[in-house]
Amino acid sequence: MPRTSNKVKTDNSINDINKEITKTTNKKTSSAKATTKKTSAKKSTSSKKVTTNKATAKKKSTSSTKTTAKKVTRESTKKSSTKSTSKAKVKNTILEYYDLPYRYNQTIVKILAQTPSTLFVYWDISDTDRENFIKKYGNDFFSKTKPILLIHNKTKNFYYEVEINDFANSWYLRMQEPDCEYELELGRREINNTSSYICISSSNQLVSPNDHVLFDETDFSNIRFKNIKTGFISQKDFGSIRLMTNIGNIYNKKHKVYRFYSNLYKDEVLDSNKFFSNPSSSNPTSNVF
Amino acid sequence: MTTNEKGYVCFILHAHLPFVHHPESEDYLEEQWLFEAISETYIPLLNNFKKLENEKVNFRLTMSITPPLLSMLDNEMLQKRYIKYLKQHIELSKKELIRNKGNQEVCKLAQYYLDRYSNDLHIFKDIYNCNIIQGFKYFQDIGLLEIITCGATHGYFPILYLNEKTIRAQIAVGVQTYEKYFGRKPRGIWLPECGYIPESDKYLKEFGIQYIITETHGILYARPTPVYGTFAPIVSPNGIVAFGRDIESSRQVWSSINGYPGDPNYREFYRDIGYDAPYDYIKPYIAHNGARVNTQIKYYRITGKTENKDYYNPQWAMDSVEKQAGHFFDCRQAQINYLYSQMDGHKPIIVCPYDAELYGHWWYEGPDWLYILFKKIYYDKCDYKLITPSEYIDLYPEIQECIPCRSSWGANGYSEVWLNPLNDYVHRHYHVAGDRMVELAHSFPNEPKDSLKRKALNQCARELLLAQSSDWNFIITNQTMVDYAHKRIKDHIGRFTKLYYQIKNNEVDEIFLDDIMEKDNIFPDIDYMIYA
Repeated sequence: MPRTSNKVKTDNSINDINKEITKTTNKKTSSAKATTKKTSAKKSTSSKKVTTNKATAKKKSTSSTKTTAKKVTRESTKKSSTKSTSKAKVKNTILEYYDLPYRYNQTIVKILAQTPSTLFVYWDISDTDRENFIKKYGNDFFSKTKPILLIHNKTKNFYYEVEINDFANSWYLRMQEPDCEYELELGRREINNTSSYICISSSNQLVSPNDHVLFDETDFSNIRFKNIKTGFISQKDFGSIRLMTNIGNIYNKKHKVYRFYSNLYKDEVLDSNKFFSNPSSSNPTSNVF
Repeated sequence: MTTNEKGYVCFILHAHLPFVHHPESEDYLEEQWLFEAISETYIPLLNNFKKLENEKVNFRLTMSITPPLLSMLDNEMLQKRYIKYLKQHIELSKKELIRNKGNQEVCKLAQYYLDRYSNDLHIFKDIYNCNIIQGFKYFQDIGLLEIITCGATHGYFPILYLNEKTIRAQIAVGVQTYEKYFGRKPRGIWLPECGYIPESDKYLKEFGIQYIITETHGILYARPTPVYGTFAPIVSPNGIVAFGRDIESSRQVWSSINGYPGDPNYREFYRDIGYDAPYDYIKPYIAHNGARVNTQIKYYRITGKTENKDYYNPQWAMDSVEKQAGHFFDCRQAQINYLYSQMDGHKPIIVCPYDAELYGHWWYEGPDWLYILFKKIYYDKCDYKLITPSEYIDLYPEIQECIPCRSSWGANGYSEVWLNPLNDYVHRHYHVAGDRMVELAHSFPNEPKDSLKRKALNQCARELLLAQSSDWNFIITNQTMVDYAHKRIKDHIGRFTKLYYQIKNNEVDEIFLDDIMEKDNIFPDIDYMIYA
């Protein structure tokens, strides 16, 4: 748990030579970040930035002696000279400089659950796959089609799609249904003929988190217990247990859980708005005492 | 003292700091996280455990001590630097006595800090021989403390699990590190950030983990609904027992509005002589570049919502500690009696997990509060006992079978802290590096011992693990030491990637490898084949 006590501390940690390097590093990251980070809200940023970034990327690849890749070669920019710095004790310290690659040149679609109602998806299409699509569908393939994400809710068995754009490489998707299994496809539809659809790649499968008490689907007359020492399984009837009757229907939605706990803890002041914002170290609100 | 208890209270302190180790420079302020935590949290906890032991108080406490923290506590260079840190503080406290000669109240406090840091030095060097892990191990060995493990570098499972091998490695190395330091297997694990996904169960099982701790809704939203709410554990279909955090007791301690640490008598965190003392005077004790930072020598109490703070009075603070320990004690008594009456004879467990560093670092008086509370629970009349999760499941092995809910203890309960527009650019790098590590383990299996390639492959595993620390994303979200967090992600992904290509092209640069092995010298015994 890194503490926020050091609000004012800056990364002033490095000796003179390294400082120079850090400065450049920071500049470079911020430009790289701008391109990588696109949410559904910010669709437009881009073409300019993408190109400038690529341009700098090329400049940076000082050691691009590798034959295979084009932009990927600079994944690890090697500026490891063996100068000895003034601080280092006798020993040669290798000066290092790294930047994160802009892309990995892989065809990929990955989804992650940010919350029960928001999925994060990122993608890329490799240069080879791009060329293959162009070979197969013509030079104007990417200009006469638009990118879409086809979302498959496998639990409830329905599909829908979201139009994205060619400048983005990631997206946040609002989902209606929590606690469902999803799979996505990155695909393209012809602008003038929306019935035509070509799949580029499909994602990993993902189950989104649940966001409510599953009281309604639980059969309380038949609750399964396991003895973890012996492995013995028993079924118990909880239909008449008072804790559960108290919980009853109030044990259902977020705010109702709150009410349940308020009843239970009459003397305590619970903040209903922040009820599910638990004040752990991982929650910035906890650090202001 | 209780014989026929109606329920249990289970305190869990999660002690974690990211691995910060810079042999190349002494200028990294981030290194002080460790030193501050040793002086303000770990040593005070150990001192209070000792006091309780001497007073024959049979308490129970559970602590997770994470592998990066263990590695740092065991690191000779950091131990030396901690001693230097203490000596500087002793020197500064002495100067403070002179500087504040006319002010009796401040002088008393300066003397208090002088005593405290001198005592730390004595305890650290003479009692624990510079390695306080031994202290925690001792209390585990005599049965008062249960120590559990954590993911190797506190990697956040709900994001890493797209490549399951990477969470398997987090668990494997977490367990191995624990065994190295505590000479036995851990029964429980603190899931980093309480990040739970059912996919990790099989790996927890594989490495002998019996129980985990989840956030409240990890239990409440489980399938089917747990009949006892968070007041009893549940067991997953794979046999992992999950304990859920109790809301009420959490709030009492944590709340930023009415939590205990906000008491006006407690030490004010945000007033520090690093900022208050004359610049030229304090310069040798703040950041090397001259920026004012905390020295942890603080003279004021919270006082109230005012800028005019009064001087800290340790006795008054102890009065508040007594009062609040009494309040917590009474609340648990009422809570457990009520729950016991509702649970058909089943004895409730109130699980109270906190960050260890809250106790002492943030809430300066926290370790004393625990001491007073534990003593009260042992000696005063009450209907409950302290317990560890292991003891509880040994006593009550019959547990409702449910699938816990995917959850974390971060803001809003899911993954927003570690996945949001500020830090979402990182995840593709984690996933690619994870895939590449698995690819390396498959392409170069079982390289001969002492071979250069094996050395490089093992370092790749270390770099990947270090990149995966959830701390970096947390810091970026919190906007605190952002540059440092970005740097660490870039360094570890960069070093990993460079080595990845060197291994594949069979051109490992040994000078480079030795250099980064010295810097990132965590997990000396790691075997990259955990990724196979």
